Parts: sequence; C-alpha cells; structure tokens
Amino acid sequence: MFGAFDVSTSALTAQRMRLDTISSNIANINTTSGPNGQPYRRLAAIFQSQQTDSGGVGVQVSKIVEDQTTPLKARFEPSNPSADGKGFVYYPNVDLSTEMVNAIEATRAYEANITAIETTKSMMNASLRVLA
Amino acid sequence: MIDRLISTSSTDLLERTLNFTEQRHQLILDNIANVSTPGYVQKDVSVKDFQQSMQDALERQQASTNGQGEPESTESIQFVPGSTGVNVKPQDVVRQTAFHDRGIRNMEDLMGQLGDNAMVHNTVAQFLKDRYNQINRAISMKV
Repeated sequence: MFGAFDVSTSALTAQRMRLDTISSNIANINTTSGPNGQPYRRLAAIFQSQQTDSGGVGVQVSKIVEDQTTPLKARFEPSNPSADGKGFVYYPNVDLSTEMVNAIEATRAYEANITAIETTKSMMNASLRVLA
Repeated sequence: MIDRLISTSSTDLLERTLNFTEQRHQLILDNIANVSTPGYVQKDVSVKDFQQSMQDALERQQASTNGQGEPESTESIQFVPGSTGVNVKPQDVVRQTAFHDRGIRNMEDLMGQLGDNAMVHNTVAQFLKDRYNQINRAISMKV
C-alpha cells in the first residue's frame, strides 16, 4: 500500500512538466527567432505509462517534442527586421486558447492526484488506527 | 479459544474487504495517474462480484451448523483458502470513450470511485477497530 504514493507522485511530476511546456509555449507566443534563428515552435509533452517498483502503473513524460505539423502563422510586416524577402514574418504555431485549455486540464489532473494522495493517507490512517 | 474469539465470521469478512479495497485503491490511483496518457487502457476489478461472493459466503455460513463458509473465487477475484487474503485480477475497462488523442478523461468517474472505495475502506477499518476494542474490553472485564 505504501507504493501507492509512487504512482500519484509520478503523475504529479508528469503534469507539472506538462504545465512547464505550456508556460514556455505561452511565454514564447511572439518569439520570431530562437537560438537557431528560426521561429519558436510549440512544445508538447508526450506521456507514457510506466511500471513502478511497487507494481503500480505510473506515468512519465517520455519526451518533449516540437510541433512540426501545425503551420507557423505568417503575418505581413515588411518593416520587421525578421521579415523574409516578400515581407512576411513567421510567428510561432502557438494557439493561446489551446494552451489555456491544456493548462486547465493539467491543473485539474494535478489536483486530482493530490486528492488521491490525501485519500491514500486517510486510508492508511484508518488501517493503522485499527489496533491503536 | 482465543483464535475462535478473534476469527469470527465478521472479522474475516472485514479483513477480506480491507484487502480488497486496498488493492482496488491501487488500481484507481493507476487510472488517475494515467488520465492523460494516450493509449492507456484503464483497469478495474468488479465490486459487484466481490460483494456477491461475500454475501453468498455469509448466507452459507449462517445456514451451516459449524459456522464455516469460504467465499468462492470468481474470474477476477481469488480468495486465498484458509486465510483472509484476496488476490484481484484487474480487467480492462471496455466501456470508455476515447478523445481524439486516445486519452480517456473520465475524471469524475475516477474521483467518484476513489471516494467511494476510500469510504468503504475507512468504514470497514472502523468496524474492525470496534470489534477489537470489544474483545479487549471483554478480556479486561470492563463492560
């Protein structure tokens, strides 16, 4: 039963990491040139289930990938120094509403796992009190 | 004598239920942790089967003269003979709607199951505690 915490904490870590990628997406919503000179591309955390030592099934972030499929947003800004030959500036493929929805989902999942930990604690308390 | 005093039918029943709820709790935690994992198939064990087995065992126990009655194992729940051990075999949950990324997001269901299961666990633990207190009082002759 003590292994129950492993599962919930693995989910806390994973959801926290997902929230981190969402934060960096929102922070870089207007970043037209990153360290490689290219516009920032949306990051996505990929979740994968993972066997814990105690036999439970936890979750981990297997990798963080750049979203290469959603097209960048082209805006016509000839005066911008980052503009290409035709006067277009490419903005990151970050959609604010998508990110906010994902952020809410990650927060709720985080809260759910906190509640799960609290419940585990209350159950263990009840079990321990049987003979106390 | 002491052995018979402690392992009456109700204590057995309570201990088995505790074993069952602890194992189901682990399954629910797995499902909650993986609520946004794409392609994860949720697992659960049938509470109805468990309760049915326990009820049948109780009825047989009351009908028999020596108070014996082991619950019968089912496909997903195995009762260890001669002890209060319970082994559950988790089954894939089939009735679930996947989102476009193949994640399952029935958080309300899961939290409901979590609360429900914990409630049963805590109630049963309390009953068990009361039962032991009763025996303790009997031993120390304080009624």
